[in-house]
Amino acid sequence: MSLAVPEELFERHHGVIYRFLLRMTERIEVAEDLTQEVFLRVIQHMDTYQAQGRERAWLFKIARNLLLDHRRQSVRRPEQADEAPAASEPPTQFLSACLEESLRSLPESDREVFLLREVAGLSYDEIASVCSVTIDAVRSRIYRVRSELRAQLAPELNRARKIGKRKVNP
Amino acid sequence: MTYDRQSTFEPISAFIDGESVDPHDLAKVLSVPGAREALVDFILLREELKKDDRMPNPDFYEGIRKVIPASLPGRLWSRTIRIPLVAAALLVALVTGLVGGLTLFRRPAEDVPPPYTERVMTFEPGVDWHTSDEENGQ
Repeated sequence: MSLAVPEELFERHHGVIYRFLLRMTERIEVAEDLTQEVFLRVIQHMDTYQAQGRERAWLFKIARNLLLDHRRQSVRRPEQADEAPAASEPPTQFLSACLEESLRSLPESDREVFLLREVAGLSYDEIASVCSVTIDAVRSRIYRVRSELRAQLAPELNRARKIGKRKVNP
Repeated sequence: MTYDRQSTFEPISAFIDGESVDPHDLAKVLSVPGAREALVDFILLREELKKDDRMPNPDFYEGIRKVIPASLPGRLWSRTIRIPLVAAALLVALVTGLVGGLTLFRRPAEDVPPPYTERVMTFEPGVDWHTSDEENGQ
């Protein structure tokens, strides 16, 4: 099996890594810096890379470690955390806007696992490897997040379901 | 299996993620009131998140070019194309060599015309050579 080179990994994954980091940090500059740092690390450790088809898990493990480092630094330098959150293209749909708010209210460990599934598209096994937890923990956390989001967004989801019904049966 | 509020629809959640679920558990869960709505809601949440197509600003790409110069599209394209081209060239060279070799060295003998006469050499007995009897007589 030939190994992917850094530029190929970048082409394939930088967008989804950026979106994951943007949702976790809610700051464009931080997300961009961390995304760039991910690929710097990739170049540095390419010789030890033997992911064998698990390149996404490998990349997101790097991204998560960098995110944890960033969090630790932010705690030490709290003035950085006071920067106003930014969104390059804020969601315009009502459900999307409410979803953003609800995601922010979730515990970080739950949000992280959920976003690794829904944004990054990782399997439970890959998420368990990235977050160093069991597959059962991943399964229950993802379900807990979905249940919480359903509870918080019940009116919006109800409206969205009705719109869907009207589209099917006008 | 009991269906408390915490874990009622967990098999549905795992099922839509492509994870393995017990079909009997899934069948039971799908018969619970509200299961259909839960399934649709999970998908609606997913679809909302899929709409997010935000990408880094153009400045980011300027910066990353310094880090990964090869990430320039042209370079990536050329690398992608270069390998198949080299492989194709090697294959053509191999086939040409094989066919050429067979043509040169395995041509049947009857197909090869005899060489034309360019010079005729004649030898006269007694002039160009002598028998041993003549030699003994002399």
